Amino acid sequence: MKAASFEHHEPTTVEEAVSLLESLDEPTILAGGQSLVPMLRFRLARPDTVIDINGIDSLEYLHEEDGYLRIGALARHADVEDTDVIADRYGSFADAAPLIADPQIRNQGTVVGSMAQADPKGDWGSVLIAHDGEVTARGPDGERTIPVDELFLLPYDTSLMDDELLTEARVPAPVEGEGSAYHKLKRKTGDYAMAGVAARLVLDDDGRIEDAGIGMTAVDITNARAADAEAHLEGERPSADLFEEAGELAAEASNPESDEHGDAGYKERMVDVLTQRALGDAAERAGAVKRRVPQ
Amino acid sequence: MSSESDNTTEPTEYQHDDDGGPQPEKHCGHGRGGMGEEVTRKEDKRFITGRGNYVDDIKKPRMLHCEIVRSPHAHARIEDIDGSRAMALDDVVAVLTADDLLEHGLATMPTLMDDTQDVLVNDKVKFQSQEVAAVIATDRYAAKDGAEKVEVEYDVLDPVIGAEEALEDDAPVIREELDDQDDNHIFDWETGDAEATDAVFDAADVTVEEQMEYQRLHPAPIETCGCVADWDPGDDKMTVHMTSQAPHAHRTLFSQVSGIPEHKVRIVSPDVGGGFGNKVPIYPGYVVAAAASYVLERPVKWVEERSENIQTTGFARDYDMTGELAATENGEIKGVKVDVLADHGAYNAAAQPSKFPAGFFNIFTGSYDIEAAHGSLTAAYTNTAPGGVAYRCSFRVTEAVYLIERMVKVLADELDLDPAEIRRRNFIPSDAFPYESATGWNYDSGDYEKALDKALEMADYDHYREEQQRRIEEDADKLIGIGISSFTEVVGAGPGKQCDIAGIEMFDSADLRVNPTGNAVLRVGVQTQGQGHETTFAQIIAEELGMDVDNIVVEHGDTDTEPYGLGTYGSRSTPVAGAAAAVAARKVRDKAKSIAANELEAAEEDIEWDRESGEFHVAGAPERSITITEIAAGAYMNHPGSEEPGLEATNYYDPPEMTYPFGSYIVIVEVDRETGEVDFEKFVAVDDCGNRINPMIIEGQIHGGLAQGIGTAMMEHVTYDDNGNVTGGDFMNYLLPTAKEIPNFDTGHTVTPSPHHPIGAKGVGESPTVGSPPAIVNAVVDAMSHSGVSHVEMPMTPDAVWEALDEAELTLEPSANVDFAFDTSEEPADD
Amino acid sequence: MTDKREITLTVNGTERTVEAEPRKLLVHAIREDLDLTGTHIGCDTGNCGACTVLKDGEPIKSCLTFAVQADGSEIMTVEGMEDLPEASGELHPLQEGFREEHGLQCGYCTPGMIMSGKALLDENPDPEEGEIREAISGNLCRCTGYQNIVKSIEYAADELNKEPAAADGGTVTAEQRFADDDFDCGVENCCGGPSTETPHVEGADPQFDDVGGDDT
Repeated sequence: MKAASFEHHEPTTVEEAVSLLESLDEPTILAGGQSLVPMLRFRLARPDTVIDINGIDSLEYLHEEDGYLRIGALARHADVEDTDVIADRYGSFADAAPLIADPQIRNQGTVVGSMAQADPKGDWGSVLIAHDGEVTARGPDGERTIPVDELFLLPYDTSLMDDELLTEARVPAPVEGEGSAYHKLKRKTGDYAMAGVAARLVLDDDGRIEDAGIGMTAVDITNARAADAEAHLEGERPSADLFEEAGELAAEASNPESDEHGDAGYKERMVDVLTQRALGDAAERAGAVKRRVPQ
Repeated sequence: MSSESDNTTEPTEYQHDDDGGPQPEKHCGHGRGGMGEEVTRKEDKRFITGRGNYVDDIKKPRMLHCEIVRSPHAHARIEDIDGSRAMALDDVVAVLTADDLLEHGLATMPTLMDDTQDVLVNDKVKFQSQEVAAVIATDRYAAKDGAEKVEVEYDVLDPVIGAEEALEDDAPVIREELDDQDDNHIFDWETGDAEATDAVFDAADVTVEEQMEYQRLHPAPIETCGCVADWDPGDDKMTVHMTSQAPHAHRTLFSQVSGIPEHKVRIVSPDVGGGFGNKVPIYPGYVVAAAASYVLERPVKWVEERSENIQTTGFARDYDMTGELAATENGEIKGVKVDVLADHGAYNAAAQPSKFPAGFFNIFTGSYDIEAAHGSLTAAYTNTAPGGVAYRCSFRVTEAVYLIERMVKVLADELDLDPAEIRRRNFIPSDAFPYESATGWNYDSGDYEKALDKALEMADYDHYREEQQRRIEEDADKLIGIGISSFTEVVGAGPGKQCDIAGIEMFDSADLRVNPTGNAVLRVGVQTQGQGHETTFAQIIAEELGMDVDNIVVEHGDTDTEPYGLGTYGSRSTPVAGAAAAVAARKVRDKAKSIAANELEAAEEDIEWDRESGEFHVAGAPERSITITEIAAGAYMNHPGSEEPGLEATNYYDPPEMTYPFGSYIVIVEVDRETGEVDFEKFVAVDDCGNRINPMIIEGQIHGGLAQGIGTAMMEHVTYDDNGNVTGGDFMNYLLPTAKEIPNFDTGHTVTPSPHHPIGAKGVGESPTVGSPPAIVNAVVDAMSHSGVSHVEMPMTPDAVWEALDEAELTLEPSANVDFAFDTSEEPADD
Repeated sequence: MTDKREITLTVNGTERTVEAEPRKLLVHAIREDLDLTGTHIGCDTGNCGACTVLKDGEPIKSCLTFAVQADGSEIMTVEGMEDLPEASGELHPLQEGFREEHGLQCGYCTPGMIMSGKALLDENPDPEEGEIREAISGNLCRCTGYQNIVKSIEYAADELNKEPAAADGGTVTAEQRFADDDFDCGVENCCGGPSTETPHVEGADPQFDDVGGDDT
């Protein structure tokens, strides 16, 4: 597969990138390229111009700052795997990163690029949903913040304007009593999720769930929030029944399609399974439960 | 051609351990690298240093690139093709259509089953991605640009997907261009004795029946197919470097298709990045590149993309099978019946000997002594890519083995017998060989119980049976399943009188030349795609002539220099070409005796060959000895008057029979009752391939074949939607297992030499691919058979397994698997 | 067609320039412009990893990167392995490992596997089996079933950890290796011998510190 011709631009600042976005005719932004390059090669995407943002050094960061975990547009999946603060404090991120594709692709692909790609099978969208995350878009008129729930519209379609560049994804830093996790079912390494669920729980001093977040992968037209399940959890103490009910509510909220990799009914059931498993890990990481000894 | 006696003189002279004990001798410079030694591979250095030479690595001056325009529709009439916009591009040199090929008589090509396939579609497209036009340009990007600009008008027709649908009365006729073809039926085939089998079934205590599909697979070597065709108008000669498992047969076919005399066609198969049957057929891309080179008088390269490879080149399997067994109540199998519906795609292009329309499927009696058997098969055309190649398989033996090994498990469950025990009760006894099966096949040798016993011991079978029971009783989250397959293979085709490809008998060849300085060149007619021929064939010569393995070079793949052979597939290289190499070496040895006699001043009849020392000596006087190096010098510098100078021999080996490798595989799986996911707990493979040339290479072959078996059982499937669109046509959708899905394998072996093979070897490459899928399916079924599950179709996706669990009421209600009983008065622990 | 651009790459330690259209994949530049055909192409979707090279020390799929994106970077391909100091002028221990442990058959995936193995051992000199399997999980092999590839990389790890044994400037010879192995060919007075404990060198654990700290 060989891509059609395109012009290649390499801005070195965000401003330059935005001005290119504004002036060029339907350009495409190239970050990690691990989804875009195959699409270009198959000529499913054939832009006249590609704006390669890999030269914008200011977008290369991944750290906690001002109460947020901030992920710059050039932070790679592998960076998430290799960052200590994530391993220590962000269970769902630490779970999700190594489950994405394979090591080579994780060295190139970016978290923010994956958000911009808006593939319903992408993992990061669900993680951001569970964490009530948001993204920063920079356009000709400056920056705006888009909550993750308002980012995804359709498969591969976001609420970004044509002249906007996604520069950052961020989630609030965890508070006391918070735990999160991500579980994913896939047929093999390198394959996309048949289903995936990110869960986050915050427990108050009394052991009740103060806040819950559940994001789902590959079971709807976009990464989706299991809002009913979240609401059901909040204010309650973790229990087997509660998690079972939340699993069922998440499954009900999902809307998967049948394909070669699995029947819709099966995937719905797996949302239930994965939700409960993710809630279990999140609760354990929040210090609320203990893992059962496997039989 | 050698006399027949060449093939049978001097049977096995040696035998390594027959108890399957530890194999000796990693090659360490002290042995000579003969039979049974773990010689590291001679070919490896070029591969590990990046110096391999695959087709796409070839670059020739003035070389052009070919890109094929393919149909987006599965069934459509072509109304018009307009290449003018493509031709208008600067770097596009030519656009070829069927009309251009017709001018040169290259519009069609024969398939391996003697059907006629369009090289470029002349009238009607018959499967998605079929070749419609070709664009030749100065580089591969420009060729792609040109292909995109070729405008084709289609009249889209209703596609026919699935063999059953194809045979319905009102199905659209795919091959209406053929005389007398007014439906999609290709052939019916039958084997065995229907009447006798019915009688056995009528009298049986118990009968079982199961329907199972062997899904459409693709061999998917990591290197796709491709070629560089180079017509030399100076010599009127066509040279094609191509990804070929059978360069000589391809030369003959190329000559027949093109009309270029065969001596003016040279096929070179350089390093081949895996074949597995994918590179046995001729594909339109090769012919188009050759035609373009002929017309343009420049070298033309064509290399497939992965999606082209999976979507258009030879698929494998696609057999929908119904098996039945008749047995006594104590599990003695009396009869077997099988009925098959075969999807052959749009052309009958299956790769099997032309006398066997269903290949060697009639080996479906397996390892068992069964009184009566009957098989029938119907093949149909569909609007899917043609194929039916022997994917790491001898012509449908894989489907047969799957059928019988699955059915034995079904019967064991019906009778509540241990699946190991029921096999033991039915094995062909080791003293019954040579054995003729109910379908008329002559098994050379076997000791099935020994292999099974060894596998059971290695697998710690009894322990896992107890563990399985414990998990059932304790209603555990994960179930244990134990699957067995005690397969018998049939490999090494010919004999030429029974087996041929496009009329050419399936012999093979070796040409051995010993140089004056005592080293040697062996040229063979088979073609390695990773099997290690450059090492194993050299080991045969080292063994037979007392030379050091490092002093032998093995050449293959160039039809200008190598003797004619039928190629490497169906595990036939060792059984056939390996035999030819041994026989050629023995011919050299015979001549060497005469030279030795001359050198040692003794009578020729007094010269003895000592295999241990690898030297010739005078009978009764071992100190009067001579090596092959000294003899080689004598052959060129001091040849006896009774002999011609030089020291070389050629053998064309027509095997008297096929060989029958066998083995027992035991697979232990854990099945997750929440998700249907399957984990491999243990994977034991005991193989018997007769005498072993290089245990290291054999083990490597087995590992690789088992991984392919796991791919088959768990994930691989070329899928189509109702419109004939391939939905499993690239590596994002046609899933190959990675290092994380493949477990470590425990391999073991027994040694039962082939009595008719010169070195007693049988061939091993395909055993694991053939033998493992039923073991894996049997294991997954076994995890659920206590609740009545009798079958799960491949690929056993988590979804498919979960459905089976669900039907058997074995699924587990989802839970978080955590302990909620914590004391809320305490502070939550810090994480 | 758009204009070609001059791209400078340091390939296996040597600076090279390539004229390429922006759409040209790095793998095509490596194979066709630089004639380094050890790097292969096996799919078009980034699944097979036959095209794996190291870009600035990290394994990437060169079929999912345009050559222009690699402008100014250091690329290492299989052809560079023999020039590494660990190769002592001959084969690199990873290459030796693949040969000794029969880690290849058709050889097509091998260069990519070696590069993934190299990247792993650079970061983690003493990997567990699971870590090796993870490291090569982006490389498909259709021949070996992976088991011997894992052993090949383990072999190389052992050899590399053993290097100080030859710190006197000499190299570890094949004979010494055999002597150190617990391998026994079964022939009397031959290469079998007692296995010896091999010195273990813990490598520096590289941190992700080039894109901002994680300690704020």
